[in-house]
Amino acid sequence: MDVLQLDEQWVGQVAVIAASGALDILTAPQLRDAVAAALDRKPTGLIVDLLALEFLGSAGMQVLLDTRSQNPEIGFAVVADGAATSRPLKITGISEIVDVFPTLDAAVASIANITE
Amino acid sequence: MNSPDRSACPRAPRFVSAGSADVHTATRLRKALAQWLRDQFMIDEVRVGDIVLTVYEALANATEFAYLDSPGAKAVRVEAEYSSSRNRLEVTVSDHGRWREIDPALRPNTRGRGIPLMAALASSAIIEKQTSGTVVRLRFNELTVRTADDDLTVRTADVAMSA
Repeated sequence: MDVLQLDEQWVGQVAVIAASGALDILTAPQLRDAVAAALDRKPTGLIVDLLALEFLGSAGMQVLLDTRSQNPEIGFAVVADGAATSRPLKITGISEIVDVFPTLDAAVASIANITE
Repeated sequence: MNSPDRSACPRAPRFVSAGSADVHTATRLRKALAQWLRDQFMIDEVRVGDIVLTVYEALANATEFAYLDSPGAKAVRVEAEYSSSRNRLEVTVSDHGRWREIDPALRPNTRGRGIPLMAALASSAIIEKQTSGTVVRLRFNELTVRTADDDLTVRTADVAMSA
């Protein structure tokens, strides 16, 4: 699978973008666009779900970091688990800057706590 | 091809692939390398992921930075060679361009994570700037080759996590 597939759903006021496929130099701009489109609708929180992602390169990680730093006013969380996603996020130290959860439920719960 | 005594004559797996330095080649080589690793080595998905991500980041740098100032033929090449005596895989990613130096202080949003990522994931990562281009030499230690008569017993014994 060369492509990135992005699905957006909302859990209350929280936008969830689920990514599957590969997030790399080719596809990272698509995630950047999807994040911008979701933020235009003024969510209280944003979650990027990488559970179905098969490859995460540094270009994709940069989108996650930029999303965090450019939107300090909203809750932002990443869902990642496994060798292809949570491991590189830990190794690069990104998981110390961006909140990473192993399940979508945990990510939703954390944002609910922040925005309450 | 099968050697009766593989300890005396170990196979030396080798992977060579090249293409134009673009995002599609980077993806194609990433996938081909992943499959080759699974075919050739006793390796778990964590290690496959580490090696493939490291090589991809080198490819991504070649794709994005090597040919900024040099229009024309743009090529990138990946060679992976295994040393049985050292249980080591050496992967070389080479291009014929010059990586542009980017000052992270000036361009805070420019991704500059590829090189630290390579250094963290590989046993060693060396970037050589040559007159003919840029060569990234990545070493991955403690890899065990999959043998022709590999069986479950061997597999279980040798697939130790190399975290």
